[in-house]
Amino acid sequence: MKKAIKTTLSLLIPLALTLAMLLGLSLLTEQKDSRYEYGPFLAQEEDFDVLFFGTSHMIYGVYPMELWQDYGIVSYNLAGHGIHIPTVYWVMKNALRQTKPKLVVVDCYLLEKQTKMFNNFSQVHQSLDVFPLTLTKVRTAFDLLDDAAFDAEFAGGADRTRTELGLLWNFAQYHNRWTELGQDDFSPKYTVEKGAESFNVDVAVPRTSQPTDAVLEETTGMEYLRRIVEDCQREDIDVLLVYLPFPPGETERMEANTARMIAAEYGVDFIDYLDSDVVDLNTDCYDYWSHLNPSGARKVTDHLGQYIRERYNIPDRRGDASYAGWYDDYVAYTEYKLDLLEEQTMLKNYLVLLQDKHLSACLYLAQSDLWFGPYRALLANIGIDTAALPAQGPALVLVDRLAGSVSVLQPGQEVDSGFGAFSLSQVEDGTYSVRVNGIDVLLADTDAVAGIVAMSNTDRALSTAAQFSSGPDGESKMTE
Amino acid sequence: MLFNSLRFLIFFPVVICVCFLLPAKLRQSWLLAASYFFYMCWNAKYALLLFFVTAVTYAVGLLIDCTDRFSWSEKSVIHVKKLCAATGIVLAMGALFFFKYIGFVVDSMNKLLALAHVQLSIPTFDVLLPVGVSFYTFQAMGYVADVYRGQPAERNFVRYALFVSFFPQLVAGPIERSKDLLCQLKELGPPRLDRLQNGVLLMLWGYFLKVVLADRIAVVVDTVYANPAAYGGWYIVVATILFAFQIYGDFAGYSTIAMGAAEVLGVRLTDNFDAPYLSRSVGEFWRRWHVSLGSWFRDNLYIPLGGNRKGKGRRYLNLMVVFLASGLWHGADWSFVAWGGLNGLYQIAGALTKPLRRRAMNVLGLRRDSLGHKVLQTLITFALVDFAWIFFRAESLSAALFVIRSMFTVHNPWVLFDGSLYRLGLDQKNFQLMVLCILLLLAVDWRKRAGVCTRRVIAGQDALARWLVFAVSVNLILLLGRWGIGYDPASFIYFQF
Repeated sequence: MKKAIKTTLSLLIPLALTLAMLLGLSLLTEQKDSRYEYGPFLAQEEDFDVLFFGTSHMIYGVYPMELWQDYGIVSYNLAGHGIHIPTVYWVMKNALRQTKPKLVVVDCYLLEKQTKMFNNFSQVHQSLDVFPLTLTKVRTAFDLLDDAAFDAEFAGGADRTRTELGLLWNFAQYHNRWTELGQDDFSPKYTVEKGAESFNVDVAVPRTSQPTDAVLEETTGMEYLRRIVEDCQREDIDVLLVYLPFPPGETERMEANTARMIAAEYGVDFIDYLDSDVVDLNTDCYDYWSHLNPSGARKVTDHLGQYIRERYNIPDRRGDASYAGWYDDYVAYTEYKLDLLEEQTMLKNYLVLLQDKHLSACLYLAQSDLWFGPYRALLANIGIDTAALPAQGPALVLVDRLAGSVSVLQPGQEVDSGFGAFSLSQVEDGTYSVRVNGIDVLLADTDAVAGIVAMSNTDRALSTAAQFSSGPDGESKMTE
Repeated sequence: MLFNSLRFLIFFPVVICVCFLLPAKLRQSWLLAASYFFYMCWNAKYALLLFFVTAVTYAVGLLIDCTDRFSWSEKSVIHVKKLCAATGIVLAMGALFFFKYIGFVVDSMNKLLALAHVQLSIPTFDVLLPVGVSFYTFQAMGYVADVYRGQPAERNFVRYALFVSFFPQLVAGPIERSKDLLCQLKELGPPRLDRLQNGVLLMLWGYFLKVVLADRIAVVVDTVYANPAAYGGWYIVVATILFAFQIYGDFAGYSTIAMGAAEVLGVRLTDNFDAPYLSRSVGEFWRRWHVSLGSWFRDNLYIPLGGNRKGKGRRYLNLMVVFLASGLWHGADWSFVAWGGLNGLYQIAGALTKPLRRRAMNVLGLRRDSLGHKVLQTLITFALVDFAWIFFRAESLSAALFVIRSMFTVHNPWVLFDGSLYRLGLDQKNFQLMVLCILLLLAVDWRKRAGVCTRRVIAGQDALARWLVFAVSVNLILLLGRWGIGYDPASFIYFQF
C-alpha cells in the first residue's frame, strides 16, 4: 500500500509541477489583446446588467463608461473586431457563463455573411482567448471551425492558424512569442473603457446610398442571430437588436431590414440607426466606409442610454456599494480621455473629442474663414452657432457644459461659469489668456490661428491647452 | 502518425495504459494491433505489404528451421537452407525493390538508352514509397539470415509479427537483431517505475533533438538549399555545417524517442548513435552513426563478402560495395550512391594514406595522443563527413554539384559578421538559441564519450530534483520547440528511407 502511494505520488507530483509551469508559461506568452480588452469583464465579480455584442461598429460606437456616468448602467462592450454573427453568438455564450445580464444588445452588421468567421483568425482569438476552458468553449471551437462555406470560399488559402487546438489551448500558437516578450507581457495592461475603443479620432465625409426595402436571403448570420435571440429568451434575458449608424451601401441596408424582420419574428426591440438623426454622418464618422468617431459614439451611447432606461428595467447602480469600484474606473477613464485629447495634433480631431458632455472648452478662432469654412459643421457639432460669431475674426467662445451655455466673449469680459469665475483677457495684440478660478492659461499667441483650453467637468478643473497654426493638411498643433 | 504529433501524444499513453492493464498473455496481441494501427495511420493499404513481408519471412524462418529434422545429407540440408533463405530474401527484397527502386532503375535505364540514342522508352511506375519499408524489410531479412546461421526460428506468429512491426522502431529503426528483440517481446513484464522514468527522459531528449534543434536548423538549411544560386559561398558552408546537426538531431531524435517509448514498455532497443561527430576518423564515425544499420551491413554483407579476411584489395572492394549499398539503401537516387561512394572512398583513402600520415607525424615530432592532434582529427573528420552530406541533402546529383560549385566560387565571408545569417528564416534570438542547442548536444556527447550518461546522472538525483528536471524539460521543449499552430509537424528525414 505504501509503495503504491509512493509510486502514485512520484507520477502525480511531477505532472502537477509540469502543468503548473505550463499554465504560467501559457499566460506569459499569450497575445495580450484579448486580456487587455476583456480582462476587466472576467475580473468583475458582480453581474453586468447590459452586454453589448457585435463588430468594430459596436466597439467604436458604444461607450459603457459614459452609460455608467450618465445613467448608472453597468455594462460591458464585448464586441470583437471583424467577427461574424456566429462568432458573436459564441462570444455571448462564453460570456453568459460568467455573468447573467438583464439585457443583451446586438449590432447586426455582417448579418449577410454565410461564413462563421473572416479569414483572419487572430480576430477570433482576440474575442475568445480570454475565456476559460469550459465545455462551452470546446463547443465554440468545434462549431466555428465546422464551416463548409468557409472551406469553399477560402479553399487552400485559409489562415493556417485556424484550428480548434489553437482556440482551446492558445499556447500551441503563442509559445513562439518567447522572442518578443516585453513589459506588457509581464505586467499586463487592461482597458479603462470596458471593451470600447475611442482612440480612432478623425472625421471623414462618407458616401451615401438610397434606402431600400429588400431583405437578405437566408444566411448563416441570420441563423445564428435567431439562436442569439432564442438562447437569451430561454434564459430570460431581454434582447435589443440594433443596426448602428454608418454610411451604408445597399447590402447593409438589406441587413438592417433583415434584422428588423427577425426582431419582429421574436417580438424584440430593434433600433435602425441608419437613417435616424441621432448622428450626423458629416461630423461623426471616423473613416469613409464604416466606423463612428468618438463624437458619433457619444451620441449613439447617449441615445441608447435613454432608450434602455425607458424601455427596460435596468437599475441605476450609482450609489450601490457593490459597484463602488466603478467610480474609480470612471476617474481612470476620464484621465484616459484627457490624455487622448492631449495626444491629438489636428484641430479637427480636437473638435471631434470636444463633442463630449463632460468636457467644457474655451476657443479662440483667429479668422472667420475658419468658422464659415471647413470647421463650420464641427463647431456646430459642439454647440457653437457659427451664425452668431462675428463677421470677422477673432472669435472667442466659451462652451460651458456645466452651466449648459455657449457664449461669445469679448476680451476683458468676466463671466460666472460652471467652473467659477472665468475671465478672458488680451495680453497684447493677438495674444489672449483665460483665468479660471485664479489660474491663468495662455489661450493663443500671435502665431496661432486657433487655441483651445479644455476643462474637465468631472474634476471641475483646467485640463489641457493647445494652439494651432495653418499647415498643408489643415490646422495642426503648434509645438511648444 | 509522427512522434511529434498530437495524435501520437494521445496514442502512446493509451497504448501504455491498456498494455499494462491487460493480462501478460494478451500484451503482445495488443501491441501488435497498436503497431498496425500506428502504421495504417499513414496508408492503410501498405499494412498489407508489412504483413506480406512478415508472413514470408516467418514462413521461411520455419522452413529453414525444420530442415534439420529431415534425415537429409548435410550438403542437401545446406542447399535447402540456402534455397529457403534466398527465397525469403528475394521476396522481401523484391517488395523493397518494387516500391523503392523500380522508378529509379527505369529512369536510369531510359537515360542510358537516350544517351546511346536508342529510341525506346520503358514506362515508369508512379509508386508511393511505403514509409519505413527499408527498415522493416531489413529487420525481417536479418531475421532470415540469423535463422539461416542457426538461430532457432520464432514459432509464435503474433510475437514474430510484433517483432517486425513493433511501433516504436517500425518506420525509422533502430533495425534490431532478432534474438535481442524477440526475447524481450516474449517477456513483456509488468510496468516498472524506473523504466518509465528512464524511458520518459529518453523521449524528452529525443523531442528536444527533433523539435527544438533539428526543426529549428531546418529553417536555415531549407532556405539556403532551396536557392543555392542566391545563397552561395559562406551561406552554403554555414547551411551545410548546420545540416550535419539537423540530420543528427532529426535521426537521433527519432531513435531516442523510439528507445524511450520501447523502454517504457520494458523493451531495450539499440542505441543508434554514440557521439558520432566526436569521431576521429571516418571509419570511427560509421561505427558511431546509425549503429544498427552499420552492424546489419557488417553481418549480412561485409562479412559474407569476405570482410577483411581476403587481402587489402578485396577489403577495399568490400568496403566500397557496402558503402554504395548503404547509399542506395538511403535513397533511390544517384546522389545517395555518390554519398555512399564518397564515404567509402574516404575510408579507403584513409587506410592507404595511414602509413604516410604516421611517418609525417614522426618527422614533425607530433604526438598522436596530444589534444591538438585529437581536435584536428575530429575537425577533419567532421569536415569530410559534412562535405559528403551535401550529396545527401541536395535534391539530385546535379544539384549537389551546383551547390559545391556555388560554395567555392562565391566570395562573401562578410555574411558571417553583418547579420545576413539572421535573414535566413530565423531571427537573431532563434539563431542564437540554435547555436546554444548545438553546443548542448556536443557537450552531452562529449560526456557520453567520457562514459558519463547524463540520464543516469539525473536518475541518481533525489526525487525533487528529478521532478524538476522533468517539469522544466517538458516546458522548455514546449516553449522553444517548433510545433503547434502555424507549423506542419515536420516529418523525420529518415522516414523516406
